[in-house]
Formats: sequence, structure tokens, C-alpha cells
Amino acid sequence: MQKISGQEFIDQYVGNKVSLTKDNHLGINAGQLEMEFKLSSDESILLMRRRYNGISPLLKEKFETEWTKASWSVDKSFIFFRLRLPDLPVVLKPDVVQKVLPGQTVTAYCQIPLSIEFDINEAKIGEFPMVVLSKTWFGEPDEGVLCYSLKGQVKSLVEKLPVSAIQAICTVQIENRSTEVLTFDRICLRTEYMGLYRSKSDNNVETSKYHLVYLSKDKMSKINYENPSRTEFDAISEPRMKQTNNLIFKSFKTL
Amino acid sequence: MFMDDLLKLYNVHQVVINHIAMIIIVGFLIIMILNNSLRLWTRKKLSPQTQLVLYKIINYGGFIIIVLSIMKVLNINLSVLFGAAGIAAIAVSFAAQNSLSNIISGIFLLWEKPFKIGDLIKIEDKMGIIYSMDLLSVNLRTFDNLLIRIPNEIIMKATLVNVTRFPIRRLDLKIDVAYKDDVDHVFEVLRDIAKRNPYCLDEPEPLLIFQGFMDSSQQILFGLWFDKSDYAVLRNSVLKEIKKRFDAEGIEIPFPHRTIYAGTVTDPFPMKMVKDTPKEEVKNDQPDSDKVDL
Repeated sequence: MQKISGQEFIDQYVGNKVSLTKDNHLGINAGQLEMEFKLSSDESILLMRRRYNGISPLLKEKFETEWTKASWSVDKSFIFFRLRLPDLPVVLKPDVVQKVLPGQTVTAYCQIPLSIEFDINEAKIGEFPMVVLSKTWFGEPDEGVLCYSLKGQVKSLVEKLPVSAIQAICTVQIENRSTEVLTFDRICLRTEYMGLYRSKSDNNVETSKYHLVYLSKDKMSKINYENPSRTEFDAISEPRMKQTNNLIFKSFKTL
Repeated sequence: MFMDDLLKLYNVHQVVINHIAMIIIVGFLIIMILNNSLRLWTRKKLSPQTQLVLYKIINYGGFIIIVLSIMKVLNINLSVLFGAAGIAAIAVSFAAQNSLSNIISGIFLLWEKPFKIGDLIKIEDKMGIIYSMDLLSVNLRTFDNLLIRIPNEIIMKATLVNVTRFPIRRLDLKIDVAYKDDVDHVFEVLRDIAKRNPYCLDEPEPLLIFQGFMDSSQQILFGLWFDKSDYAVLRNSVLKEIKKRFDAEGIEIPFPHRTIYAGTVTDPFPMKMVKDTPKEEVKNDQPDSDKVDL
């Protein structure tokens, strides 16, 4: 069986039609996700299996599957893989409390784990995270949003981020337009409005740039998205929601 | 013979019958078109409840218009009918007091929106998922797949709990530990259980409150926040994990126990611990007054 890593998978398979033969089994090891694809001896059935490494036994039933079948035709059938951002917003929890002074604009870089979505003959089969994230709640219990929790490093230079094929680099620009110091330990990123792009020069996967305007403690933040230029980046995944600017959402858990 | 009579009747009233048939066909056709258009336009824009109300307005309204149009063709004087209907309405309103009350309650429920189709509600001792909301009643589907019909009037009067109104909920567990156990250590273990359970949200943080000193135990309230769809899996996994971890950490979940003491002046009741002794032997050795089953 041909087993490939996350980087190889993204370089060779994402965005391309993948055909299989009975001698050519495909195994993908990307992050915690292990996927296997193989054909039956008469090449009329595609068998698929999904496993996760290092997840809680309680989640195995939810995320893993035994061999499942799909009909296949050697001449016509193909698998199409694409990368996706998580299906819920992400709450980023920096290692240390962050401060932004009034009138200041800071740029920070973080990484968001990706999911693999695949189609068979253009019919969507499913979407599976490469890293299983735990859920959290952002906001008050009666008016908030269910999110994925992401404990991670926030860096001021993109070069300082660890190299990872299974995560997308997200550039977050925070502008403090209030008269008070913005002190926060949580930031909610609305990933549903972000697209995914691959750099033509180094194959890095990046999200749309996220521009946050903090107005005051009592007001919601203004959010704008900026997509990278098509001359330097290829679009690999459209946003889940139609991208519009000047969106208003609560974005910081201030201290 | 019967067919001949029908044909004769048709020949005499041909124009009227054709007119009525036309009203019925066109009327129902318009109702059908309106229903289908509504389904297409509102499928994603309106809640199932609002769609239901609009369907009912179209169907009942359309039916009334068809009946009135037919009556007009039959030359029935509508003003007389409405006059008679006014008197009849008074009589009917006395007879159908409950039904009217249910209809009015139903309108208030639709306006107030305390729940929607698919919500899990608890009303008095009944719990179930809202299956349908009709003119007179709300139907609940219970977890054992029974249908409960609750008149709208009762829902208006009763205290209603909407379990799934908000996306997250808190599971409150009252946990008893023995007096010998260190409560701080128990808190630590419970925090760790919550942290390791993937169905428990890390924010809002789990709630830990020392409830007080009970008859046989120290009681702790352990509140875990979760996504409302994960209730069963969280409850099962957390309770199993608490038992497992308490056993491993030597934390005792005590049985209720009672010490019988006669006071300071009198001597305590004579009690004797008998270990590994067959029951028969105990019976033979002790007088009846000293027997204590342990």
C-alpha cells in the first residue's frame, strides 16, 4: 500500500482527480487522521476506512469507521480531495495575555488545523478533521457561539511559526480604535468567512487575512477580510459563508 | 335509473353545476399553487412554525372563499346567513368554549414563541420533542416514541421548560464523598475528569461547589457545560469516569449509615462485630436482644 504523509498528500493529491486501481491502494497519514482507500478484486467497489491516532476513546465511535463501500468504475470514477477550514469558528487561546495600546495596530500570526473533504465522482462523501479539536463556548451562555478551542502560539513574525502541512497560516491584524488598552486572553476567529489559498512559491496554505477593529468593551468588533492576490496564491477552498466586509461580532474576551 | 336522474338534474341546472365545478377546480388549484410556492420561497427563510401558520391561513382562507363563492352561485343570501351566523356564533361559543380557548391560546403561543418544532420541552410531568403545533393542541413525541397531545390552553397555563432553547446546557451532578476524604483532592480529580472528557466544554468552566455536610457524606455539586446534542454521551461517560477515578484514588462514595446512641447517661447499646462467622452460628451464640445484622 502507498502510504503518504500530510505534506505529500497536500502537494500531490489536493485539488487533483485521483484514480485507483486494484494494485494501487492509497493510505493517508495526515495529523491524527489515517485514511485508507482500496478497490475490490473486480474493481467495482471502493472500500474506505478512517482511523484517528491519539484521540480520546470516547470519540472513536464518532470519528472512526470500519470499511465502508462505494460503487466504483475504473474508467469513470475518481476521488477529489480538498482542504477546508473547521466547520465552526475558532477560539484562539494565546499562551500569554495580549495587550494592544489605544490607536495601535498589531499583526499576529497563528495556525488553524485543517480538515480534508473528499468527493467521489463529484458527490460529497464527508469532511474529516486532521486534528480533532475540543469544543468551547464564546460569549454569554444565552448569547454566544459554539466554537473549536485552539490553544496555540501567536507569533509576531510568520517565520517563527512551526512548519506544519496540516495547518493553515492565519494573519490577524488587530486595530485598537478605542481609548482604553485592549487586554485579552481569548480571540474568536470567524473562520466561516475565510477562504483557503496556496502560495505558488512555497506551497504554504494560508487563510484570508483577518482584520479586527476593536471599538470598546461594550461594542462588538468590526471584522474585515482580505484575500491574497491571485498572482501569488491559488484559491483552494471557498469560504463557507459569503464573504462580506464590516461584519460585527464579539471577538475578544477582555480582562 | 340513478344515472338518468343525475343526467336530468344536470340538464336542468347545467350552468350552475358547471359554475360550481369551475369554482372548486380553480379554487383548489390556486390553493395548491400557493402552497407549493410558499414551500419553495420560505423553505430556508422562515421557521417551520411560521410556515405552518401561513399554510393554515392559505388552506382555511381558501376553503372559506370557495364555500362563500359557491353559496353566491346558489343565490343564498349571505347577509341573512351572516346574521344567522351571529346568533349561531353566540350559541356555538358557549358550546365550544374550550375549543375557542385553545385556538386563542394557540395564537398567543405562536406569537410568543416559547418553543419551536423540534425543541425538547418539559411540561408538568411530560417530556418530549415538539412534533407538531396545531390549531387546538401541540403534539409531543416522547423518547419511547409515544405521541402526547396537549391542548394549547393547558400549555398557556402550565409552567413550561424548554430544555433545548439555548445551544449549550449544564449537567449538574450531586456527588457525595465520605467524611474521611479531602475535598480539595476530590475537586482536583473532578476538574481533571472534566478536562479529559472531550464532550465537556472548557468554557464556561466546570462548576464545583461544596454543597454542605449531609447525614452520611460531604456533598459536592459538579456542573459541566456541554453542547446540547451531547447530553447522553456526556452523562454516561462522566459518571463512568467518576466511579473509575474515585476507585483508583481511594475516594469513597458512602452508603447512608446511622449510629445509634442512647445518650450520655445510659450506656451505649451493646454491639458486637462478627466477622466471617456463619449466620446460623451467630444465632445460636447470642441472645435475641443482642442480635445486630451487619
